Amino acid sequence: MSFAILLLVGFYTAFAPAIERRTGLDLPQLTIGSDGGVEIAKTKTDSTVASAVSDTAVKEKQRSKSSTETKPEAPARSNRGPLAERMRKSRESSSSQNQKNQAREASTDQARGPPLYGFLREVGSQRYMSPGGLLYTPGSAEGHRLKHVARHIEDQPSRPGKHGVFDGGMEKALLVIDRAYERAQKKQRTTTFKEDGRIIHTVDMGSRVGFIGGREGNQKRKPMARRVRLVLDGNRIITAFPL
Amino acid sequence: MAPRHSLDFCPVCEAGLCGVRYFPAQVDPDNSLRSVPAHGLIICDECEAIWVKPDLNTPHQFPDPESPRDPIGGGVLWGGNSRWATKEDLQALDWSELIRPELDIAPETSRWDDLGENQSDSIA
Repeated sequence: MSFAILLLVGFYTAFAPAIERRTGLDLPQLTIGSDGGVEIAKTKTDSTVASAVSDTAVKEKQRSKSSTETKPEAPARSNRGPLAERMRKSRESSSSQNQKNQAREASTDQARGPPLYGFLREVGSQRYMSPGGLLYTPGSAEGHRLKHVARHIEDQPSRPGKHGVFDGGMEKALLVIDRAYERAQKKQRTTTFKEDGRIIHTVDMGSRVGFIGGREGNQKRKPMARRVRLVLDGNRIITAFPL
Repeated sequence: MAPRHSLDFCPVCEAGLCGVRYFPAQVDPDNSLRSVPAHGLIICDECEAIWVKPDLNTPHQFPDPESPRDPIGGGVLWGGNSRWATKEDLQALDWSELIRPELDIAPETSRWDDLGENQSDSIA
């Protein structure tokens, strides 16, 4: 008797998965108890549903996450190796870090206000950085290097000797100075003289950047200037003027 | 701002005027027991090269770009009690004979003169 039951249970266990697959039924599992009797085990349904719910919940979570973050769905795992996966992850994390940094910078910029003259970024109290990396700081007889440079956007006809004047006002003067600095760094048509921390670049800009004013320039009917002289201390502007 | 009286054009930047800056007698800012007598400096108004003697053939030096100090008295280079020397200051220094009169600038000829002394105008 017990052998027949054992045989039956054996057959049932062997064929149950196939029957389930074909009919879609959820058949209970049969086990042999310690007393030799047949016991109907807990149906699989509970655990399957539970895992499905948790799967759905995870999927739902993922779906809502993706909809809020509007991140593109990760591509299905194909033949990519584990290293590729890791690299992708690190790239994602670095891009998110970049986004965070950009957001932080944007908020700082917002707090500091718009750039001076449209492109000078405030990098400290009264300290401004140009896109080319020149620093305009407090200093000089005028109180600030920008004010000192501003001496060279207008002629001073009664000033002895030559007085270089930039064309186009302060914004254009600052852009020309930045371009001159860029050329000086690339050593393009530049003569450089260094002494005791001061760097003096004379840069040929290739075309007109201003004119020579002052007493001497006015006597010669304001000849054009196509060179720029930069006097720097590191990347700090001391003075800059057309020549 | 431009100096009123200058010795010559600057041999360093070749564009600035080497003007006479006058520092009246004062108490040493670092040592209140020491007084610093009145003295003058030659300063280029473009590149800020400094000569402690009224001779451009002597060695020059450059001040700190952001907080320039008077190398003799230790006080601030710009502002404070110092000023571009007047004729009276030149006489007090006994440097009147050293300046080149053709390089003189009347203070009212440049609007930057006022900006420099006040140092209170906005940058932009």
